[in-house]
Amino acid sequence: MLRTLANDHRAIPARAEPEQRLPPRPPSLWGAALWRTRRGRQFIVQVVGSCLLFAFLIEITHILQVNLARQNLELDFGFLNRPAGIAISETVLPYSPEDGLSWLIVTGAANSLRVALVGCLLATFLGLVVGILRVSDNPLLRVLTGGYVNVVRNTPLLLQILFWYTILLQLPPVRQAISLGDVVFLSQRGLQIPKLLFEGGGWALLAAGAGAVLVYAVLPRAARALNRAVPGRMLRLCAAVLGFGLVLLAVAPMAVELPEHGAFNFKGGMTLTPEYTALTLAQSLYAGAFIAELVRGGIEGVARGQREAGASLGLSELQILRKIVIPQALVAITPSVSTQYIGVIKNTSLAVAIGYPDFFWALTITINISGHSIEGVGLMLLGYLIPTLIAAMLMNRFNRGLLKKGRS
Amino acid sequence: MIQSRPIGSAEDGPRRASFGLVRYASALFFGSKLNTAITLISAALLWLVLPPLYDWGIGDALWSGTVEECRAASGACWAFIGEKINLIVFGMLPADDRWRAVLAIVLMVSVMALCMVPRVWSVWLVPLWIGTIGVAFWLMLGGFGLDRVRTEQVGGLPVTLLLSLTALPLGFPFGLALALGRQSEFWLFRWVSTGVIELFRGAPLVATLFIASIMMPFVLPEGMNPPKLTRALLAFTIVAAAYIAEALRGGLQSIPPGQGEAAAALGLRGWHRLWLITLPQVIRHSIPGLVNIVVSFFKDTSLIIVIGMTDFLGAIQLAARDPAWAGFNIEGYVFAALFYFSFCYVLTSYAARLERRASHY
Repeated sequence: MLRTLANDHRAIPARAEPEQRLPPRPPSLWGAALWRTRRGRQFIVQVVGSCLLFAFLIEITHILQVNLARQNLELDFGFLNRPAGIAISETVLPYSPEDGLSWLIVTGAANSLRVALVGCLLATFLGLVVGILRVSDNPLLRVLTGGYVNVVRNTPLLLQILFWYTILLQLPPVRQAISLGDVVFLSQRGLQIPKLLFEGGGWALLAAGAGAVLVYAVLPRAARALNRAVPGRMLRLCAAVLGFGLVLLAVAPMAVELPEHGAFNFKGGMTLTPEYTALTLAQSLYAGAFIAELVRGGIEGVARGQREAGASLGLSELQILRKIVIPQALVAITPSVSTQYIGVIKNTSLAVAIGYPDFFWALTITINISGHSIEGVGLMLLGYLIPTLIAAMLMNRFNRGLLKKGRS
Repeated sequence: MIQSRPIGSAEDGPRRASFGLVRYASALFFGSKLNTAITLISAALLWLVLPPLYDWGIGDALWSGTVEECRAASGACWAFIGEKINLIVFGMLPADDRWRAVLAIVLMVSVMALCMVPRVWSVWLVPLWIGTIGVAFWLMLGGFGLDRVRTEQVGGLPVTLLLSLTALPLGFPFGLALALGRQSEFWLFRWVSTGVIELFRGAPLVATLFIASIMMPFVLPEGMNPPKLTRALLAFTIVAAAYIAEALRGGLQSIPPGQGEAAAALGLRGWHRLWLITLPQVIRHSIPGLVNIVVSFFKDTSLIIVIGMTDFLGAIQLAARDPAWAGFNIEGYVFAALFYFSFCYVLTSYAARLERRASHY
């Protein structure tokens, strides 16, 4: 019975459409007229498309060459060694106007990174806290956090940067600086914060880092060897931070330098200029609001049953949040948060509106000084694409790790 | 997440009825120790922020008057906005031509409002948009019977609307081509599309604008030197195309393969399949993402001040630079914030509503 059915099945269509039953070899491209077959049409589209693309590229390069020849310009990167001859208001790296243009660009990039790193850190912290608070039932808290998130998300970042910058410039002069417990001062000159001084510099930090890693790695083994309960991850992290501090204290004599109120300026401490402060503040608030929305979406996306299961296990609300909801929410939002970090890196370029010497500013100056706009533009694209691509790659890897962990 | 009521208690079910309003409210505000603390801290924060804000913006504010009165007042000086409103809305446009800017603004905003009604979504919106953009540019720049306006004179609100609302329709065909190219079986199309998308999504918009404004003379034949407005529009269009491609990619990937197979079984050819079956679903699926792109472009148009153009925000900065009215930047920025907020908030809530509605199906 079965066999006859199968035979019938094979026989009937074979009689009806014989060529449809034999598809192992694709029909020859040259058999029928080219536009009659699917593959032929694809072939036509591909050939025409490629030709157009190449024609476009050739035309553009040709025009570029003609224009370059007309203006007696040549493509070469030798101009990067020329002295910059321009002063920078604030730098992380040591810089003087005699340094080359290449060093000007590197200094600008370091300034941008300084904004991006601090901005990302603050934004993550702010976003996590506000995002968690935003799911609260308390109406007052909802008004407060919702107001912040909605206002900041729906106004241009440039406007916010200009706003904070103007406010900072309108602060009282140094003499009447606003003081927060005589530790942090806020004035026209910007934000004055305590500075951490320690001898040994990088080596001390390296030693302390090694100590922290050691503590983190050894702790569970030590606990197992002593037959004690293996400490949780939070506890291990705290111990590692403690280890970091202890090693640093032991290796390098440290001191905290508090800012002192002088007549016209501050003595000691670290000065964050109004430009830097406004830029970092606006970036953190802006990205923080977007991350808060992501965190809220992630938390609300965790199935209700998960929470109820936690409650029925007798976990407290905070435990449910920390052990059940947030880990799952984090997995869900990691890719979107990485997009926000990339946004922070890209948005450091808005510094140019308030005159903070960042990477973009350094390159526009370089182009103005040397006149090599094509090379400058190439460096600019390279400079922004490398960190964004690296950040995207790292986040993908982190995300894959989280997914794997979530499944096991 | 920090819940005022213990989970699973009296939230639903018959016991809810016995809860009085007062008890419900007191549970909401003072349900637990943590919640009481939250209530008190939030109330203190609101008390710190709201009354001074009210005093500054409304209570002690000056709604009209001279500079001297403004400088004496402790509140905001809204008279500054009143004084400069023509510059902010019309840029440097001559007084006789202002009706054209008004007409262009009204036209663009009403067409956009029309497009927000799901019932009118159809192919007819494409020619409608093309016509709207054409008419808006004609009104703003002149020609064909209207006096020509130099592009340097075009500024303020119309520039913001023109750039943000036209970049998306102009970039859409390119974005669609890039999205399809990224899915192509042919390696060259796939590589080129991916490269273009990642390049323009990775570079900051400021950099793209700057590059468009300084590189154009190099890649155009001699003698062609487009005005800044065109350069900015080109940069916005390319960047919009890259973002649109990314928004459409999600939609393309969400279409189950069975749809295409069913269309093939009905005897539809490749292009018909794409045009009649796949694309309508993809676009519908991507509308919230596209609206969010409009919002981000509306905000990002302000970046054109980097290449020396004046949009809405630029006009406010220009107004605040007037020596006679110097020092009222904050009022200007707050006014700009209110304007951007009202526009973007409507659009983001609309996108969120569409997304919620889509998730029901």
